Amino acid sequence: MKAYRFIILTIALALLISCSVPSADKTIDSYPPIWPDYVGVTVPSTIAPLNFSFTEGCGGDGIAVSVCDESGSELISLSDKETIKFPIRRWHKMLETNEGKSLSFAVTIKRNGAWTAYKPFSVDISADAIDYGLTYRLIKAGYQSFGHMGIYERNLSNFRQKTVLDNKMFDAGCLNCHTSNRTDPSSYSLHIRGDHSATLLTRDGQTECLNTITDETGGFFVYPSWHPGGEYIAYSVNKTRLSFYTHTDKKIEVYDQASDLIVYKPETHEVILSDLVRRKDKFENYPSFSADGSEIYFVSSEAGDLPKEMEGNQYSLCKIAFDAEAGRFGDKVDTLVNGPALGMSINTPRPSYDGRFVMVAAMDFGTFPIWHPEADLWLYDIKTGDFRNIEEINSDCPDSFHNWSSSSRWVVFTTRRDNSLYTLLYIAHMDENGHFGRPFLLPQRNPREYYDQLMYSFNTPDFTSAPVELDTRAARKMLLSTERSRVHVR
Amino acid sequence: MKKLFTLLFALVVFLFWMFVLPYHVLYQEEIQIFPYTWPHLKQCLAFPGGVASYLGEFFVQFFHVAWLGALLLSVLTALAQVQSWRVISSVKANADIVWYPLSFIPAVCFWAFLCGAGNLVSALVAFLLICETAVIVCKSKRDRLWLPAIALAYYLAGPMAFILVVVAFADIFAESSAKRSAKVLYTTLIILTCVLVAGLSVIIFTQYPVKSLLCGVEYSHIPGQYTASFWTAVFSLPAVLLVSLLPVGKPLRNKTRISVLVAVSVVISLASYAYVKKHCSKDMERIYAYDYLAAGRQWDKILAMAEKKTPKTPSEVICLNLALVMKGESGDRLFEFYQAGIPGLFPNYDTYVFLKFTGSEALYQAGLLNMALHYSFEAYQTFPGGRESARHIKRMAEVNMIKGAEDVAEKYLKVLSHTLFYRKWAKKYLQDQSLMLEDAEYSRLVGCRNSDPDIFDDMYDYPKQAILRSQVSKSGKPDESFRYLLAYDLLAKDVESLASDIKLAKIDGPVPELYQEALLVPWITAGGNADYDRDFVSDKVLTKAQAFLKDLQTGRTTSYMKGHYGKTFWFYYASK
Repeated sequence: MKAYRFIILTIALALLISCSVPSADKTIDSYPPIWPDYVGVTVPSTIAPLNFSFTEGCGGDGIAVSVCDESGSELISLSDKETIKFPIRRWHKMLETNEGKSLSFAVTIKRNGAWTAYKPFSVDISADAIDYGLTYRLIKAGYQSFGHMGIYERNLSNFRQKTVLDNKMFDAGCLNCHTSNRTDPSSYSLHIRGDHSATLLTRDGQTECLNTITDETGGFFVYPSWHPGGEYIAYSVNKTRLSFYTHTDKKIEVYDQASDLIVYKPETHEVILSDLVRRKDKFENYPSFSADGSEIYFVSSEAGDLPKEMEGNQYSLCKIAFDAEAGRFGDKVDTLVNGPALGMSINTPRPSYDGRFVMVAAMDFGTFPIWHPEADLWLYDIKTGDFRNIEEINSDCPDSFHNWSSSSRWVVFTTRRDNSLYTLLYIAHMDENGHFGRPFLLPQRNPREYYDQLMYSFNTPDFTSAPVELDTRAARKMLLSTERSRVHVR
Repeated sequence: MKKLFTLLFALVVFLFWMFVLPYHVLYQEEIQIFPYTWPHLKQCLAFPGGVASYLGEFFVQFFHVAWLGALLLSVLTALAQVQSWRVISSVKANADIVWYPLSFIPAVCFWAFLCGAGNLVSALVAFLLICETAVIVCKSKRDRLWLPAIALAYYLAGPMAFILVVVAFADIFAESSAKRSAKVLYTTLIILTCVLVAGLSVIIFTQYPVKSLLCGVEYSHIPGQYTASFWTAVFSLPAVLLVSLLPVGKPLRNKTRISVLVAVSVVISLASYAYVKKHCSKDMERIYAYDYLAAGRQWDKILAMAEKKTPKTPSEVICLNLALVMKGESGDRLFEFYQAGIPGLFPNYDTYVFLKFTGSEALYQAGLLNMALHYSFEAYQTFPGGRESARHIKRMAEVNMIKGAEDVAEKYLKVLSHTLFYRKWAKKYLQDQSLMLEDAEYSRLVGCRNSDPDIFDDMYDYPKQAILRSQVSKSGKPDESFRYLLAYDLLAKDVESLASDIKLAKIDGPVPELYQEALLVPWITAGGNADYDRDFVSDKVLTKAQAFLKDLQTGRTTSYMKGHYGKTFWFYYASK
């Protein structure tokens, strides 16, 4: 009987502690100092709980939150010593019932025994669907050597991260971008550098290892983009180098000393070339098929003597037609945005899958935005030709490497805004007019603990519409074997 | 009697680590980090053997203090002996004392194994966990417990659980009262358990190569690389156990037993001495010592070591030159020691990992901050096994603080603030990074922040001489950067640059002799018929130069010249 009473009392006490929001001793008319800063963000209704803490340095020793709907009814109230962790089921139920609406978060923070209430902030729950999850690479934020790294998949509805590939399996080779076809994980291209270098290509469940060097193209296939039909993949072929700044404010410059574009047809192992995108006097890079597959967006700069002429190395946004039926490039290159004329270098074009926009990363010069603090995301409107800085999502630190969700309503991008070296993932919502909501940091169960202790950078993120199914043992076996399918120029 | 043997053994092991390989112990701590955080524990719990790895790392954090590390190693090694005996006596009830010396063999094998640079204490911890599991199951007298015990031991300690399988077989077959059918049944079930555990492990832990899952993920810094000393350590207990189970015929008489015991003890002691000696590298110990002392700014100790035995390896030479520069003696004593050109001052980029560790210290003290960061990062990034290193995280925190990259420094400081031995230091700067200006070294290096136009490297290496020159031009001080610049000129035999670089800062007191000697090289080359800078050259050095020139012109032998001028710049300049 005594034990029974004790259990009831303990449960009641636990509920009281976890659910009660203390009354405030004073009120401040500013938003609460919380991290991650979720004030005013727009999130999908299936997103994992936006757990948060008070910011370090604010002197907090307790935090509480009360979440209300638009009618003012309290849906969840929680308190904790440091981190608010929403119960995942209640969180999802709350978001589901408030899809298309706003939720109000009233936060109070305890300091020296006194509670301070802050101005409530809103979180918009978008009705636009987001994909199942993300894929990304985790890599040490450093120079040119690659130690441990891996490609991971993250379910966006919870905090589960799954290893897709880990380079421990391949004697520490470098795993490059894992690129699926418009978020479909059943087709992807992945290049692995190192002793067992190969391009691992999976198409409709069939995997093969490619040696993509040919006499005509000279190097490995590097940055891929799938044709929407899946019959072609556009790649760049780059001669990439690194240099290091002696200047104490900068570290690295990654640049190409040659780069061309090709289109690869997996079915026949053919490489399709065009002199228009293999010019000796130009560096062509970052190909990306348009939504309907009839065009390839890419960037192009004048070939220069790099790194000597590094600061003059500016890329423009261009496009060239591609006839999928004939498997042929068009006969002219159009310059859509002239980078040098605007004093900027445009990189990594990513057309939205609805065919409305092309998002790019732009910086002062060069071809590798991540090492440029001034790098920002810009949006090119395919219909109107407008080209604008997406100020609503950019920061003072590098904002780059982005990808669209399959609905073209969400973008994921990397940014160093939180500590200027380690890139983290932010997700932003875009409305039908091309305006973006405030982006939010990829949620974690205990964000402060997770991100503070993480010694890796998030890199090359993309959405995935379903879990990635990869037989890693089979992939390893293929990679460690010497067998490689050769590609040949048509 | 047994306890005395064990205590004596522990003492010998302690003295060994304390006085023979103390820097090896310290090095083990430097190349790992043990944060008291949930993510770190979770990471360790996520692979077979992770618990042993976690405990191993826990012990190694105390290696920050050499005597504590030696003490822990001696306790763990002695425990390996005690546990080995407990296993033997559990399997063979009332085991004869004559077998007792054999129980030292596994402990000695692990002792020798731990002398290897990349070998981890977690292997020894795994062994202890397995022995304890074996003893518990043996004492329970329930053969069915072997099945879950093998699975549990595999998870806790990794594939070394194989030892448990051998112990299980030995225990089952040593039990004379058990039925034959029961023995066959349990043997079959144990084999099936092993297959099941191995199969499940391969299916579950897909991110690890099968070889690592079956041979050990975290027994060595280089996963998948297992040395002979590893296999010897792993097979030692099964071998000893099987030997102890051999039928010995009639029980030995007391007198004979004592004779056998003494004989076996002497043989094992001698063999252990030879085996451990074979695995103990004094050369590596010296390299670790130089590196550790350089990282700890113990310049006098470095010079004292070098005076006893001239360093010859690149890593040692870099530390020696660093000490000479820091003590302000590079201008006088550089050629008292063996020199290896510029790589003896700063290592080339495309060098092996350890040299980058050491090189980072020299670059840091010379004020080449971006390079120091680069070398340190690359060393730690490319370190086999991809482990984090407390020393290098600290270095990255330091350099970023000095550079003014406060948010990046904060990232590293936060990581260090979760450790035992770096917490105090990290918390101090987490509270206020500007406190670094109160530190003489940090404050000096803040002056080396380079805001001049960028100097690009062609590929991997840096134009070190040009950056040093730019720093010295800016500061105008005869500080460490200045001494490094002139040492660079000397080692590069770049007399022309030295003649102009020496004017970049005002030297306090007399000009060091090696600089004077370098300034007189054109005069010597011209047979004494050229001008030289009289502001810098003293009469004493000029007189010595005249004697050198005379000896040179009279065709003195190389050995004569080396005997008389071996410590001068002229001899270094003339040598290939």
